[in-house]
Amino acid sequence: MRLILEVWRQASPQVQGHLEAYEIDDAREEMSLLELLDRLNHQLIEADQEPVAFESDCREGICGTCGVDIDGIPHGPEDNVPACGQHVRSFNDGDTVRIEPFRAAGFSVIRDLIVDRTGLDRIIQAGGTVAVDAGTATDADALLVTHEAAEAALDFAACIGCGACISACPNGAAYLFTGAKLQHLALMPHGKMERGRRARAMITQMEHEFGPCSQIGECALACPANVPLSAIATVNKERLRALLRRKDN
Amino acid sequence: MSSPTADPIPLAARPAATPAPFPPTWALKVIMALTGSLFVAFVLFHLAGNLKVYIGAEDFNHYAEWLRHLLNPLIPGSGFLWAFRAVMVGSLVLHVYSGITLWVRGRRSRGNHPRKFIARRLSSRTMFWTGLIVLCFIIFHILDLTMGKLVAADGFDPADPYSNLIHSFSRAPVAVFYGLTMALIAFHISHGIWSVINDLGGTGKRLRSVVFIVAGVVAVVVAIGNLSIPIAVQAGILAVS
Amino acid sequence: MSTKKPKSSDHNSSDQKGPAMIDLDALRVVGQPIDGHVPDVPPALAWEDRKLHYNLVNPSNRRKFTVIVVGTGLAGAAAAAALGELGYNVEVFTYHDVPRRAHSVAAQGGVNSPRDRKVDNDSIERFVKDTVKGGDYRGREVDAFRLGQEGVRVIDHMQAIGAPFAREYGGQLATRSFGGVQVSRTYYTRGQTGQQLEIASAHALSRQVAAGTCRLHSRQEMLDLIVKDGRARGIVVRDLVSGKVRALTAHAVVLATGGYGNIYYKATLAKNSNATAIWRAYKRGAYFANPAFVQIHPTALPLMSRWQSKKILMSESLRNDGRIWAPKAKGDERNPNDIPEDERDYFLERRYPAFGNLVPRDVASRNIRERIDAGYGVGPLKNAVYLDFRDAIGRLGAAIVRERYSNLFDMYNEQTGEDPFATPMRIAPSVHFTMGGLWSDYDMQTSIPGLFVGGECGWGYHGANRLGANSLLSGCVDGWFTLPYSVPNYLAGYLGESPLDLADDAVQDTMREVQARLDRLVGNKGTHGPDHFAAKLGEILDQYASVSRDPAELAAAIKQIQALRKEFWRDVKVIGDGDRLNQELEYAGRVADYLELAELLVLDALDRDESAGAHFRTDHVTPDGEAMRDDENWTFVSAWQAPSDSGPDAGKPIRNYEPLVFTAVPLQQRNYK
Repeated sequence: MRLILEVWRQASPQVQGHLEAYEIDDAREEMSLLELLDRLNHQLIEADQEPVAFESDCREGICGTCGVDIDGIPHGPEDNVPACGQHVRSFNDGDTVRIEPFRAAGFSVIRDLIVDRTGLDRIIQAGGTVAVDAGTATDADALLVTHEAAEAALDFAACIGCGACISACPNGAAYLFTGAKLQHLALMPHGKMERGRRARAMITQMEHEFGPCSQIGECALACPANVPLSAIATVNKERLRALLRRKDN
Repeated sequence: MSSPTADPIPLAARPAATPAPFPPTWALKVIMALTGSLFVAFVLFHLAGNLKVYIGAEDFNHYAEWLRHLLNPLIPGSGFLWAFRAVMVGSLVLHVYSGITLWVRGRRSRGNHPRKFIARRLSSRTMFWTGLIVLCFIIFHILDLTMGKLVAADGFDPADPYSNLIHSFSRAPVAVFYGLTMALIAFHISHGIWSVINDLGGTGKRLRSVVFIVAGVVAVVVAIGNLSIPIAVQAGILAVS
Repeated sequence: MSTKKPKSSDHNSSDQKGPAMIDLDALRVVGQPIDGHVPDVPPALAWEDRKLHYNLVNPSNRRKFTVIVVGTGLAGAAAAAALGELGYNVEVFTYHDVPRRAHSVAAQGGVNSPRDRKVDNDSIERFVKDTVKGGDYRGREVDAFRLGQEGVRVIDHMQAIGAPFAREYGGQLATRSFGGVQVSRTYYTRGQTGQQLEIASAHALSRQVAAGTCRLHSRQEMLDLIVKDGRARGIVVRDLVSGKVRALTAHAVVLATGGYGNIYYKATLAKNSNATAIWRAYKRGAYFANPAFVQIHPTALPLMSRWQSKKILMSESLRNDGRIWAPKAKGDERNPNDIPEDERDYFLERRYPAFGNLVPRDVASRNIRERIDAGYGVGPLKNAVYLDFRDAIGRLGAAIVRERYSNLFDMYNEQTGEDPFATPMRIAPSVHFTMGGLWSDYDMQTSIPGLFVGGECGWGYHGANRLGANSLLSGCVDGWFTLPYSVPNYLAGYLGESPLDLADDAVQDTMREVQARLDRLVGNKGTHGPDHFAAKLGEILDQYASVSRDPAELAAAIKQIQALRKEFWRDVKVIGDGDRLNQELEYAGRVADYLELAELLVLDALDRDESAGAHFRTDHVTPDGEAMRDDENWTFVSAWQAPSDSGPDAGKPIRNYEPLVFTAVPLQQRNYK
């Protein structure tokens, strides 16, 4: 099928970007969006033109490296599916598809469709960790965790750190990301030990680079890992808990 | 090739050492939730009072009089009413301040490419604008029916709120404005209640589904209850006897 | 050490009967036996003994040492975090934007740990037996012991730092069994175990980054190793954003850069996974062990079209409950649900009654490929077989099957648009893991002192075939519980020595060479992008060096690879400049290295005149069609040394060998029947 791709081209963070239109004549329904970009790049290289820079790695939806806005929607038209799992079958012959980098003030464009998402990593560095050194852990079988708690923790731990929630958010908020980590670790026996200080540190860092939550829910629709929307409530829950308890745990 | 010593390999940036924005976003959200809850309670209370209009002028005016002397003789005169007004004004200032601050922060965090397409919850997206209109309405409403200044109908009588109400809603533009604002308030409230549960940290599945429904029900009740009054006035069902 | 010395040179002389007419001596030189530095005690005691003899570094002296860790997968992130926790200065490099994206994240099924809590008769000895036997006796038995012994606390640690392992209703850790074993020792977090272990490790690394012990350099790709006086002294990296080539020196270098499976072009590996770091280390003198040992995973999604960018692994854990079958009739195009039971051939269950669908990966892959090649394949390109959950759903109910495999089923659905609850999955073998890698001794140190390896880029545990769920284990054990002991032992000897000055000739020369290579690629005005050559190379390897290998074809493949390499340097086109983000340039450099490594891979396959595990030579087959080892001559690991530039043997790689000793698990033919 034939598709017109309007792709964001931007040579560096310092210069203005713009949309440029390209035509693909032989797009196929079973192609993923990234394969469509591969196809475009192949075409550009054959024509001695600069290929579109975009990021991807595992191409099976788990690494969180890929991520583009398709017609303004992070990752693409299907809900809860990463760009590598979005397919051309979502479009019709002759459609124009706009492909832009993830959008947020915290995500500056490095080149074309590649943005800087290290802000998320800084939230983790601030406190999304567990202070247990190698070799010092207690016997994992001696700590009972209910089946339910383990499963719930995994629902939130499933976050792939792609940043789609932020690009989806009209406020550029990182609540779903931060809340998911807080909730995951709050359910873990060792993670509980520093629940209070973690909430204070991560939320403070989050507020440095990302916006406030307005409970819109776009983030959970975009999330390729299906992180439950309640994660956005977890942020204030953990913060209020830390405020009232005034303890590290 | 440049000298390698002069040019170290860049480090990934570390978390900021400076304090986060003040007041913190989470605190502003909690303030909005608490003051917002107060407003929702007030609106429901106010609605209950409003609906007395259907019982008759005497009851309605009696209720208004009772409000003025609430908690007498524990608190003399209109003391409670003034204290209550002070709390409401304070809450309003906090609510509006927090709302605007968060809105500005949201715009700033999003950057130069505003999100155009929104799949769901139009009410959430319009909170800022419905909020602003509701704020204007509150000022109008107080001038109109509490103080009887500027925008009030002719013949305002502080001792006869029932007549003031009927006179005011007899003016078609006022009735329309009031009706529209009630729809917006319902819109604002429905997302407001949903936000309260999030901002106060309600993460339980059941709690969230219950609140989601309650938010809708409250909004609809407020809208229908309040809307019915100007409609009834315009339709001639309610009139000064 | 009592070792029967392999008579490899005799065996490979021209009078051999196997690969007749192939003059191996024209292609390689047989080198010397090398020492794996294995403790001279029974293998079960070796690790305790070795730890006791390791030198220590005083806590207050640790910050005086700098260690470079390349890669932030399970092994790299763990080694960096653990060394950081101990107080060393760690410089961590990744070509990703953040550590968590390393390809360990994509492992699905689980992590083995012989914790022996159930009464299914598991034990460390049994784990070693499974690992050694599964690897077809071509790994180091004593390493497998360490893997099992340290593996016990891997679960404790990973659970503590955030991996939410599946739990039974009683609150205890849940386990499942995996291909190649008969006990239940695989710990898991649904179908995303790798993700949870990787994120937990990356977060542990983040904790050290915040603490300042680890310094993270992201979007930096290692392009060379700095060696001076025979010791590893630092690395040269290219900043992927600015294009700048820079060097960093240190007291020791740890490579944890993963496997080279992408050399096959369409593998299950992430698009960026590559062989450059280990290949550059090889070129600088590190030995390369068993490059031909490449695992072909039986349960990947088949290729469905020309533009499909890679294959996707479906966890082996699916074989616990799924049954593999092909139609009994050739070219059967019916809907699988319409094929009656008696027209289905459950060929693994038929051929291997004891293990059935849980035979080791190499056996499963070979059998599936055999069915496909024989014309029984299904799907649009007739390149797959069925993996069917009908019986499991009937037996356990859809709810339990969904809980065990939901994300795998979702992923399958996402990629193919089909629902595995309704229609059997279609699966096909795909290159997945490389057992070969840089040779290292028992201390994980390569043949270059000061250069260590961890995880898939090394060799050690898996021999000629890796057992399912052992890769996550090896990454964790190397990073968390081996390198933090062995690296300090090396460092202790260099107290007071500063890292090499950046102005040193060794540093400057290496940087110049890297820059020259990049300039050559950028300046090459050819006609095809690097992808064109990667695809061609993949075709050659898939055809000749995949699940079965014919010596005459391997010899031909070497010639084809050499020709392709020449064509590459003549005809490759790299768009854009080198002084900025340029993904074509990155890829071109990686493909250039694949083209060299591929030749060594094929040479190793040709040289190893036996079948072993994943290395299945058509001229070494048992009467009933199984791989036939030659223990008498080939019980050793081939450790390839880069050729010298001059002398009579210039240009010929040197095959050194480390003899392997098996005491706890005596040599015997594998039998999964």
